[in-house]
Amino acid sequence: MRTVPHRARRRRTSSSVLALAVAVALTSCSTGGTATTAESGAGLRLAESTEYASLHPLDHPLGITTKFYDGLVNVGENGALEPGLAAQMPTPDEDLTTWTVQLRQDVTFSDGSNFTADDVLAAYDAVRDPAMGSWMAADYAMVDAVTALGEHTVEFKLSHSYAGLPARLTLGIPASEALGDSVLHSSLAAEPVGTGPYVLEDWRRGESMALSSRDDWWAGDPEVERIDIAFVPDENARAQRLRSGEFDGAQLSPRLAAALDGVNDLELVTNPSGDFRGISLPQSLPFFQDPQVRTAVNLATDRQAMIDGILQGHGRPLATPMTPAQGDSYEPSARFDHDPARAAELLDGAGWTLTVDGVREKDGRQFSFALMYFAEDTLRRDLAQAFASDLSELGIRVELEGVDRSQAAASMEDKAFVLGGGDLPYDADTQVYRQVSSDFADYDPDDPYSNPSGYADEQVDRLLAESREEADPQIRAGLYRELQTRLVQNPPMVSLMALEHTYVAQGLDRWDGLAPVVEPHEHGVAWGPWWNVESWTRP
Amino acid sequence: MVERRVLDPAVSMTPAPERAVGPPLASPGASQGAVRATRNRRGRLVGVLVGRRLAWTVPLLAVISLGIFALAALSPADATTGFLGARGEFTPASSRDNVEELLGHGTWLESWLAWAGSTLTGDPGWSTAYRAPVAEIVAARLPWTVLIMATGVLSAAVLSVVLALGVALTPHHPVSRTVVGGLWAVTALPSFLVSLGLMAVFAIGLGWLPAGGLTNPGADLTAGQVATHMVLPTAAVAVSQVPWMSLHLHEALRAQLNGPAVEAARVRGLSEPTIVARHALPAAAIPVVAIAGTRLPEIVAGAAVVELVLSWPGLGQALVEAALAQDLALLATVGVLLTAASLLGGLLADVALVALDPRTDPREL
Repeated sequence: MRTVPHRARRRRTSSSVLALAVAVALTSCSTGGTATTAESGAGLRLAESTEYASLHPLDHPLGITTKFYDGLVNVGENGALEPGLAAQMPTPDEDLTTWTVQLRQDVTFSDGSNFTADDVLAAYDAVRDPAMGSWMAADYAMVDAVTALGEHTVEFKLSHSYAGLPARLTLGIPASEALGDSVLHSSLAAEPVGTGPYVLEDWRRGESMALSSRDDWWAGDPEVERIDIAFVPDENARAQRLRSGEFDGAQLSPRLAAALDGVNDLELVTNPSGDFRGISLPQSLPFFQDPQVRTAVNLATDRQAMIDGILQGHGRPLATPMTPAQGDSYEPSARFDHDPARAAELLDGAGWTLTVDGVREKDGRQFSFALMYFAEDTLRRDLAQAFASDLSELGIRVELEGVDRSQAAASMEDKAFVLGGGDLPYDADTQVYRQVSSDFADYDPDDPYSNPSGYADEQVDRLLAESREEADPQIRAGLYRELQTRLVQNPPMVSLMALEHTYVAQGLDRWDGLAPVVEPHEHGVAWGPWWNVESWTRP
Repeated sequence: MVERRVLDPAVSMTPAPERAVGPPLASPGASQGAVRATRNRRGRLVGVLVGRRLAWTVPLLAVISLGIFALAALSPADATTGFLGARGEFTPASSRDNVEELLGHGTWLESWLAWAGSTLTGDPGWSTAYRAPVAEIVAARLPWTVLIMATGVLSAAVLSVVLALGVALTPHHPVSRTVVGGLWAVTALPSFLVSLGLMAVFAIGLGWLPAGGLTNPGADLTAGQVATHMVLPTAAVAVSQVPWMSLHLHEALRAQLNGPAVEAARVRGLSEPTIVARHALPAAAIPVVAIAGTRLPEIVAGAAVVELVLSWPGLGQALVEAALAQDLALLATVGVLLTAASLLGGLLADVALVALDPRTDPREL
């Protein structure tokens, strides 16, 4: 009996010519098994969509590096945080400004050296060190100092109360002597030295990577002893090679994954995620300064149609950046039902009336704006098109612009944008704060993606601040539920959906210990059904 | 002095139309000594040609690399955004500043000077996209690209000769017409479609060949593994080269076979296979060889797509990655290598031309 509950129902749609064409192409080929028929008894062969730029844990968190490194805190089943290198979960003082972490005493790095408080100090000093150049430095700005209270005890001193700290302690800890001067020049980019369950056996640049299990990992010997990861950037090539049985699994888009589900021994596996998509409503545009108008735009958006049509059903509609993955902190009643009639009423009430040419106007100004999406991202493109079409039915003109990242950043202040979020969904604070706090309301070309709508709401700010200071998890969850109710009354943006990440795998029934998890924005073979491969066992 | 006559007195002694088919036909009328002297003189001139070209190469490469840095500065994309990639969306301002600081700053000219100076000492810098020395990346990937390009172009040449000869000798046969039509059709196929098609048929459909990578997943890097895995990428490179090569060769062969030189040879009673092999084919190869050198960059660009689809860890993939990530040291190094390769290709084509066609004056190339 396997325990992955989110195995998707098989679903075929004829909505897309591409999906159909690919499906036909795939099913019309015979089953010829290629050279790799050898049963990989204790190994996995996976195909990754992009090669890793770096294996440095301060450069690449929450992905493949979790196989080489442990955090003080690790991500566990259903996305719950659990002690990793910490002997138990970190304990705060009364006002949540001093956190104490007891460390495991039985841990060694892959180079044989012992894991001690010094390694923790070095890692957290490095991530905050401007010269190291970690893109996560600002996420640890509230850490004033990290000190060792003993060889196996560390203390974090914070500049303000912060209940969300444990999620930030998922940072992988490398051996201090291997840290290097910067993420750019450190040898850790290619040669990991960590405490994790696997070591890097071989890396053929541009082609593949081999991981082998350690026989001295602190949590026990992994039974999956070897993981071969091939880099297959072309998605169709990945799908074809999966079908031939060459790989045990890979990530695919919902469409291709659905086309392969049930073919040969392949099955579709999904995980929920905090990875959400939304559309900013920049308040530099006069119509978006009116909360009634922002509410109307939210009501006019048919989220379920997007999920069914674009994601083959693999998503959950959202009203705010908070997702069901945040558990008790999620407020299910905070939602926008698709109600174009009510949306039209609100717009009429706000003075935006339909003209003869079908576009709404107020005081001689047309309700028309530009919506940017990353040109190379087909999902965001499809969402932008669907959103524009929903709004055009309401008399709002949306001009679509496929842009690169630099263009997006430069125009974020006065153009709407299909945004993505959920880089760290294991605490409500890290999921939502940067999206809606007025700290980031002023446009900064160096930080265009934080609060891209320029939204400010006193009640929202108060709830965000209070929940950072609240030690009781239940009261804190209640504050976040209240926050969502407020975010629906005064919406900052159009939150669309949380994605379910889709994977195709074979041979999972040869193993026990599979479990669901909550995935962050990051995805790939370090997630999917394989996220906890180190604790799989043979039945 | 009129070069051509002086260059090859042996040739000048034969009737004008026959000169086109070259020394083998002409030599019976000339003394051995004269031929040797001519060869020596042409050899020296080829040496001068090679020296002259190589002397030009260095300043040209400098200008090309300078251009890469200048164009990158004009592009709206910036190095920090490229370095951060998808993480840019989650990177607050102060972290971003740190990354910017780490990647270095200064004008594009200063960056170029630093790169060029370092390259001259043998170290072409550090790749920001791969967080590794550029030299290491190039050294790891270049052989794989050269392997499939060289074998691809070579097999394309062999196949083209066979196809062009077949079609030229039986111009009215229905098969010949189909082949020519087919070649034109293949010309229109983009590389990624060729690669995916080859994979679908030979790897997935028939199961004869592996679908990608250097080896089977997890297998050791052995000659046998690479030999089977390089078949598809090599074929993909070859398929993109065969149409133009064979069509050009076919046109040239047709012109030769109906030309006065071949007529004259027939009149002299030479057998048809001899005429084709010794006279028509060498003469027809001349324009094809001349074009081949200049098409080298295009072959490399096509190889990048092949590499991407068939997971072949070559330089083409790295070039694309470097461009996307604004990784100037890697981009400029690969750019310079490509330029050098196409200059070399052009030079080799010209040397081959001199060897094939006695009318060619090395001083004019």
